[in-house]
Amino acid sequence: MMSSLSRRVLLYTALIAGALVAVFPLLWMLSASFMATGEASTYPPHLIPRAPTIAHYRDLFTRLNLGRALFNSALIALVVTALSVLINSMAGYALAKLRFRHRARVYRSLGIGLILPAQVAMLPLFLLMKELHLVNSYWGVIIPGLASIFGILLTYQYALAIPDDLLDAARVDGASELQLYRLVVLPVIAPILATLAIWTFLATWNDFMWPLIILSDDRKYTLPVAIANLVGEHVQDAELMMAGSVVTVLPVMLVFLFLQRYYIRGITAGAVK
Amino acid sequence: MARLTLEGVRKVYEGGAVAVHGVDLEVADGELVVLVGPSGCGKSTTLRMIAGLESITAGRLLIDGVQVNDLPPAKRDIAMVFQTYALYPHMTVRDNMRFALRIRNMSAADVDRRITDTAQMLDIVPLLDRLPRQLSGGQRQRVAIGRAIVRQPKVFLFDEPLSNLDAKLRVATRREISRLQRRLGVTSVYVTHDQTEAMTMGDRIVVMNAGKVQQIDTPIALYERPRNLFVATFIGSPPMNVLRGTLERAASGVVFRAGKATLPVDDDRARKLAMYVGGPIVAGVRPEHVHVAPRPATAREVGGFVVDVVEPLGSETLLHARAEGQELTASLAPQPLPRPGEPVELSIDVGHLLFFDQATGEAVGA
Repeated sequence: MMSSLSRRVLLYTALIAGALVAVFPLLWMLSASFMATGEASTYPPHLIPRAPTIAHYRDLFTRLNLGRALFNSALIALVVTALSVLINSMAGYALAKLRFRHRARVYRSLGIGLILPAQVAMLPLFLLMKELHLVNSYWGVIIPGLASIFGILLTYQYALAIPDDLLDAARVDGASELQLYRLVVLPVIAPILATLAIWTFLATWNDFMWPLIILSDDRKYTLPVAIANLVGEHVQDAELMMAGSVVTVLPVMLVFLFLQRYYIRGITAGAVK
Repeated sequence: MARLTLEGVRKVYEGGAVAVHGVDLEVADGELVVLVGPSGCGKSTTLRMIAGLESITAGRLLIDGVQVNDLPPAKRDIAMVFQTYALYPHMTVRDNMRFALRIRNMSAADVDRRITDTAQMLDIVPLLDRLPRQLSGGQRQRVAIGRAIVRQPKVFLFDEPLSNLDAKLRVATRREISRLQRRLGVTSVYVTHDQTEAMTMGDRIVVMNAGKVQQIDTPIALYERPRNLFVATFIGSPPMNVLRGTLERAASGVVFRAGKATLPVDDDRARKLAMYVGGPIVAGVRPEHVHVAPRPATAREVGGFVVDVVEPLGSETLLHARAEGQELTASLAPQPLPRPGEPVELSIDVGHLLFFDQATGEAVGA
């Protein structure tokens, strides 16, 4: 029988080891981004830059115009997040709490849609966007992200727990369905909306495939696409790539750090209730 | 202040299940009518149709003579108190009470005055800035009632508002709702499955079962003159005793025979029950009309009973006894009684016997 102390020591050793494995590539990325060109690929490798430099960052934002991509990413991620949280929450709530024809059928078809890989939809989606003349536009990136099955089902699951009496009380009190949604439902499901917002922001920010497909003008590129474009031209310049990666990862890391409380609460919501 | 009228109000769900078979009811201005019945009897559905939360399949619903069948709840000017309180969890007590008034665009000064008046009336002023989760069950229910009162609606609807409270609080709140309702004089419909609540609160009671109205009457009339066996056994606690037997002609006149008991039926009643003589019939008698020896002059003995359970309640004692297929409960003054398993000599006040048709359960011979 192991004592509880030695068990704790073992547990924490394992956790720290796991954390190191996860964090090391990120630290390496950060460190390498401050190294002089070529320094990251010398042998033997070293962790700390010999003469730290911000030259790569300066390059990114001046010569390579990454600021534009940063702006594009932020704009698209924010718009998608704001609109999709609104749309998904309305749909999820309606599906959970309002009685309408074919509700069960809609729910089932969402479930089926969840199984299909996103890639399957890309070609038809592209053709659709082409018909709508939205190829190579911000809206072409934004519109497909406005409703997600995951987002609808997440709010659906959470909204199921809203007592019917609460909604009826508001109706008797004179609230219209829209007032009911705005004044009662939204505040009650706010925790799950925070989760959904973070999730959507991260997913949109990190999305590579769809913006790559739909955008052709490099002035409209999002960060992941712009960075990938750099790889082609600067394949030798590992340090520059690392700086680009830092610029891409940093904002989402910050978002997650500040809001992880909500994220985790949302994921575990319902599990212990 | 309003008059509420239901004319053949009916609810049939998609798929054909009939929840309410057609309710005819007139609730007078300022009256409190209680809908009572076992779960699934259609009482809550009826209330929800009045509220507008459930559509009306057929019939007419009128408030002050104006048909409101198709008006949404918001337009009916009714307030409702729910069993689960249904307070808005993210709003303070004050905001909960303000909600409906704010939606109606009432001026801030009027809103504040009304909230203050109502909070004083209900003694919840110290709670005004708290959130529902910081309140006890009883306080939440007071707030829920306050939220209804503050609106000054035409009609109050109560959907089992006391079910989630503990027994002591339930009795106190019951009295308070009665007092408030009388004081405000607002037409009210109150739903409960608890016959004691119904008896103590209702000006009139609507007894429902299986989606049908069984009887509409004052509490005492329901108790003394139930229209059928269901009402007879549902109203009253402990419930009315039911004896299944036959009506026979003996030398002394018509008698009711059940097991070893032979009870005389007076001539007037025998005449009204003429068509049942020689056949089966059901008799009912309230526990307070069942006695132990010595029997009162008006009572007749029913032999062969053995004590099953004795329940001393302090002010009275309930004695449950059985005899070959029959059961009797007597409500007695506290006194020394035989122990379970021992024989007991019971007698029944024959003047208080009620008779019911065995097949239909309808009261007969009255």
